[in-house]
Amino acid sequence: MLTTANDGAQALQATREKRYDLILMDVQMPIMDGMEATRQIRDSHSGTLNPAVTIVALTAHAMAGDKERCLNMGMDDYLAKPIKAAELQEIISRWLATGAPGQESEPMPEVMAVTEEPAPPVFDEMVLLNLLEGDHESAAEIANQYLGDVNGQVANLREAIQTGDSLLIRERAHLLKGASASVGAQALRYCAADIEKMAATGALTDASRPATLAAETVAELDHQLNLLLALAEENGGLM
Amino acid sequence: MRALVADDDTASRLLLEKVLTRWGYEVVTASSGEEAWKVLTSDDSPDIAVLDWMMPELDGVEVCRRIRALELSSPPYLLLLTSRGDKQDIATGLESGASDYVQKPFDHDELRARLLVGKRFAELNRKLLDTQSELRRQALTDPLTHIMNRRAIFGRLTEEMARAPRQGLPLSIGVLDIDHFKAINDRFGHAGGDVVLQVVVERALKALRPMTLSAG
Repeated sequence: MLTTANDGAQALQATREKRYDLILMDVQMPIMDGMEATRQIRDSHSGTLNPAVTIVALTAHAMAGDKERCLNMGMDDYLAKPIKAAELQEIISRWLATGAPGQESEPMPEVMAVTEEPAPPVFDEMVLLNLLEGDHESAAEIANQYLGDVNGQVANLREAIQTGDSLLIRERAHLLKGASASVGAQALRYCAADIEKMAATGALTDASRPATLAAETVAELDHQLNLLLALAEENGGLM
Repeated sequence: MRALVADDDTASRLLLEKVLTRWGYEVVTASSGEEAWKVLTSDDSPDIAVLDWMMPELDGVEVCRRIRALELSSPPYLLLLTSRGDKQDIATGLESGASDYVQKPFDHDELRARLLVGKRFAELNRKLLDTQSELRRQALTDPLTHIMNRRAIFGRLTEEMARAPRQGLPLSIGVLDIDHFKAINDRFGHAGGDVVLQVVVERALKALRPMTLSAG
C-alpha cells in the first residue's frame, strides 16, 4: 500500500498511526525537512510504531557528501532527483526483498512517499471559467480588472512590510490574497497567505530579528508579481 | 430576487456581480461596509446580502451584528465571505448574525447552492409575512361588511377614549341598530338579511366622514 505525505511533520504523524516498511523521503521540504523527520522517526520516544523503518532519501543535491550526510542522519539509502524508474525499482526490490517473490502469505508492504506539493500555477484560468460557466468574455474582463489592481495592491503591501506595521501588513496581505484567490492567481495567493500568516505570528515585525526576512519576503512577493505580469504580457492578458 | 454584493476588492466584486447576474439575481454592489449598511437599511433593501468579512472601517461581521440588532420583521439573508477556514472564525461569524458563510475562492456549486438556500429563506419569510398580515386583517374585520368587528372596535375605542381627554377634544360614539331585523330574515331569508346589512353599512359609510370608525 502506498501513502503520501507533503512534509516531514505529516510523515512523522503517519508513522505513529501505521507501521511502514519503507519511506521515500524528500530532504528539502517546508515545515519539517526530511533530515529532522528522520531524526524523530528514529527516536524511540517519538511514538513511531516502527523506528527501524527503511528510509530512502530523495535529494536534488548533486554535491559530494550528500549521501554521507543522509546516511549519518540515519537514512538507509539515497536516490538523486530526478528519479529514474529503473533506479527506484532497484531500491525498492533491494529493501523490500524479504521472502520469496509472489509468496501469498507475505503481507503487502506499507510504503510512504514524502515529497513537497508541486508549486502552484501562476494563473489558473479554470477558476474563473468554472464559476462563470465558460463565459470567456466576462472572465477576461474580471482578469483585466485584477491585473489593473494587482500592482497597487502589491505596492501597498510592500510599503506596509517595509514600514513594519503588522496590522497593516495583515490587512493588505489579506486583500491581495482574496483578490488573487478569486481570479485564480494561485502563486500570488499563496505568497500573500504566507505573508498574512507571518504578520499574524509577528515573525515579520519582530524587532529582535534581522531585517533579512522582511527583505526576502518583499523579494519573493515582487518575484511572484513579475511572473504574473510576464505571463500577462506574453499572452496579451491573463485570459 | 435582489442581492447585495459587498467587497472592497474590485475584481472579486465584479466576479460575484457577474456570476449572480448569470444566476438570475438582480445585483446591487457596495465597496465598503458603510455602503453595504446604507443599502441594507434603505427602503428597497435586498433580500440576500453577500458580505466580505474583511473590509476597512466597518467589516462584514459588524454589518451582520448591526442588522440583527435592528430586529427587522423581514431580515435579509446574510452570507459572510471568508477565506478563513478556522472553525472559531466560522462560529464568530454565525454568532454575529450571519445566516451562513461562503469561503474564498468560490466553488461554483457550493456558492450557487448556498444562495439558493438564502433565496428559499427570503421567499418563505415573505410568504409568512403575507399570511400573517392577512390573518391579522381577518381577525379584526367583519367578513360580511368588511368593516371592523367587535374585537377591533373595542380596541380602538379604548385608545380613542384615552386620547380624547388628553387632547381636550370631544369624542362622539354613535350606535346604529336595525329594529325588527328578525322580520327581514323571516321574510327574505338569511341571504336577504345579509344584503340588507351590507347596504345599510354601505349607506352609513357614505354619510360619514372617511376618518370615522365604523364597526359591525
